[in-house]
Amino acid sequence: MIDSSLEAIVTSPPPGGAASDLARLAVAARVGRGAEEERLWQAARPRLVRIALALGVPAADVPDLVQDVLFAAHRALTRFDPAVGSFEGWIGAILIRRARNLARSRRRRRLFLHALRAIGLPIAPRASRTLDCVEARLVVERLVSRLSGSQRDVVALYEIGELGADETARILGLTPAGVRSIARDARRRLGEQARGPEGAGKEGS
Amino acid sequence: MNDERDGIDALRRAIDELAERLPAGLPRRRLPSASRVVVAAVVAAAAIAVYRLVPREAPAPAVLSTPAALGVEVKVLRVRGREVAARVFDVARAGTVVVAPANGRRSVARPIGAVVIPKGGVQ
Repeated sequence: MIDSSLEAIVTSPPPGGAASDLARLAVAARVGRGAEEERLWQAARPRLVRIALALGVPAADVPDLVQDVLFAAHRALTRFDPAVGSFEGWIGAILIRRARNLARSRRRRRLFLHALRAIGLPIAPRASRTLDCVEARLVVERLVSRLSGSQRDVVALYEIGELGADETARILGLTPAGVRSIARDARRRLGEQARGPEGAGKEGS
Repeated sequence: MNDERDGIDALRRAIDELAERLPAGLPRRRLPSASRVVVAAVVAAAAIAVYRLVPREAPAPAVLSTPAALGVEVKVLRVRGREVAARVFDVARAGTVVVAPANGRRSVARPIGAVVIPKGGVQ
């Protein structure tokens, strides 16, 4: 049963374009409209892929991570409250958490493989993937690797994910002014990297 | 300011290009929890059925324990349909001894009708 505030959101015209559309879709999906839910995930996915790449998630892991996030969002959809924040911010917060978990598990896996190699067990190298040869992947990795952890999060959500400073601040536990300041520093650092002698990747993208 | 935009634009272009090359991927469908319970129940039932149906060999006759004291010799006892080695724990009385299986679990010992054979003699 949909309450009156949600009904108002569903029936009111979208004040701000795509963001509101997603919230409306989410609210419609909450009450069991399967077609709306399918459209919601299709609409949300491209932005999640871009945010994940900007967070430094390896390109080969991005599809799995995004699917994981969509599945988690599907299960938690009844808890989405449009009065608290946008749908993009809500699902972006899920993505941030999952990406951090993935990074931790990758670190553990690296240590484990290193230990296995140290005791002489033959560990087959990772199979070569198609994306390994993509120049854009190298550019993304090179640029993202120059950013600190907080700069990476801010760039991913605020610049690439195009969330507002308020929304980004709420997700990351910062102030909006802090978000803008970190974004400015990150842009400066990326600019130095792009025009520097090692910034040849700019043309390769 | 333009330099700053150059960097972020380069990152944005690279991400866009990379995102287009990634496989779209269909949403993974996981079984709902009720289905998972049903699957687990079927697997458990199958495992129990296999366990019950597979014939198991009867345990080999146990090695006889050290001949008991008290001048009697208890060779084997029939405990729950199986013959097991036994050891005398108490004085034989009226042809009945307090015995327990040779695994030493005295707590499970109870008087049962055992074949008591005089040492070196016949039943």
